[in-house]
Amino acid sequence: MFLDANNIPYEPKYLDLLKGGHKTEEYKKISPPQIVPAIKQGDFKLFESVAILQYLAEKYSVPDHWYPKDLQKRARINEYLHWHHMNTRWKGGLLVMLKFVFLPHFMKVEVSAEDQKAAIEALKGTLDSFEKNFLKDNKFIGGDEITIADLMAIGELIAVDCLGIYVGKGRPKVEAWHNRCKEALGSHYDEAHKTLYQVGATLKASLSAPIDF
Amino acid sequence: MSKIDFYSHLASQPCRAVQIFLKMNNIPHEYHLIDLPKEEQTSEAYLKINPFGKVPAIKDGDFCVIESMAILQYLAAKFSTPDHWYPKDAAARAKINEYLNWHHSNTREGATGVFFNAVILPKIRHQPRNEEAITTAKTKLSAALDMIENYFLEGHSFISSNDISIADLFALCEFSQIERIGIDVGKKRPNIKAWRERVIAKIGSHYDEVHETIISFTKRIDLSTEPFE
Repeated sequence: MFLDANNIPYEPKYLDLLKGGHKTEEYKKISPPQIVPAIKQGDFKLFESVAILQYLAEKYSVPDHWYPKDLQKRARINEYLHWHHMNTRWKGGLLVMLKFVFLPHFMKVEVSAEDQKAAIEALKGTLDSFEKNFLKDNKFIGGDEITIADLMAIGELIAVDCLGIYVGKGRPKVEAWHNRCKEALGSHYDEAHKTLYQVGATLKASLSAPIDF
Repeated sequence: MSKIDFYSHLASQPCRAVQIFLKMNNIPHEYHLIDLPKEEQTSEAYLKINPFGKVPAIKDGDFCVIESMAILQYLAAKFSTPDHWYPKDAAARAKINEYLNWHHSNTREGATGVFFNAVILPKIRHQPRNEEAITTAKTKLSAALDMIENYFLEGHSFISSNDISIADLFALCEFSQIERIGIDVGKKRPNIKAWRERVIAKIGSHYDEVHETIISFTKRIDLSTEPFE
């Protein structure tokens, strides 16, 4: 979404994760932990999406609002970006995907109903903190214009939409924020989420029961 | 310039990283002990500073910053600290950011996972040891150490760099925590062993000062060496 919204020229290299496309020796040379995403520019290689966004924002002199140079504005974005990993991701979107989809259906590892319920509760707790401490009364995270922090949050929180979990349900602030992000990103939002919704239909069908959220 | 208010307890790994940075850069600050054993972090007064009730936090005038890495990114810019701490060059900075972001669910999750489950849970909270959680954390820690040994330190004297940066402080302070239960991260990993010695040498006398709290804290508890390969 960031590359497209800023007209940064790039060559997409699609990796089929389900077929172990990220486990090749070739990809290991680009991303040693064999995780996605990664970028390569000549000899320069970089993994970790947050680091990638910070690098691109700087290198391509994108409009300031994406990652403001003002110290205080930037601090607010950085606060979110660090909190994101173990909260929005590991006590949020990714945890839910792990317990409802990746473990039971792709790795064939049994997950108890208790564990799944705990993942939903963790997501709810994270959403409460997200609203209260990061969105507050702002239009976006930490301010009134979209930033790389919003992109990271969208990535994790909207992923679960394909399973029928809409994080804006009962949370008008989150819903309004989501709509603002969609508006700010326009067609780039739809393009980036195409695959998710295509794969999502199959994932949702594989659930043993609709998720109570 | 007025002093930075620094809210901390030095039993915490990220607090130590921030403290080392403040000292090494002579940043004027006022230390506010947040008494973790007495749960001061959940007091109404502190929650106004950090609504998550965690340490560290700083206050620069009226402006609060939470999340230890965001704190150091802010201080490095505000005080124009020597470039090596958080380089301005986009590519060099990207490499430090790569480590910082990877650290959360790798180095920290592994090392803190071991310490929490082997020390805090059984010795402080008097709950039974969760062997499964310890094994999982050790596996995570081992993988993280391998990545640091073979990638982040490969061809560099410090993490992704040839000079010390904030990335090194965060890694070092996770390792000094598990050192209290006899885990020597450099035992089978020569790059890490040499790196650790280099970082401690750079930090100098601040290293021992900053570690006094965790050393005396763990001496008061009956701790045995935690097996780790």
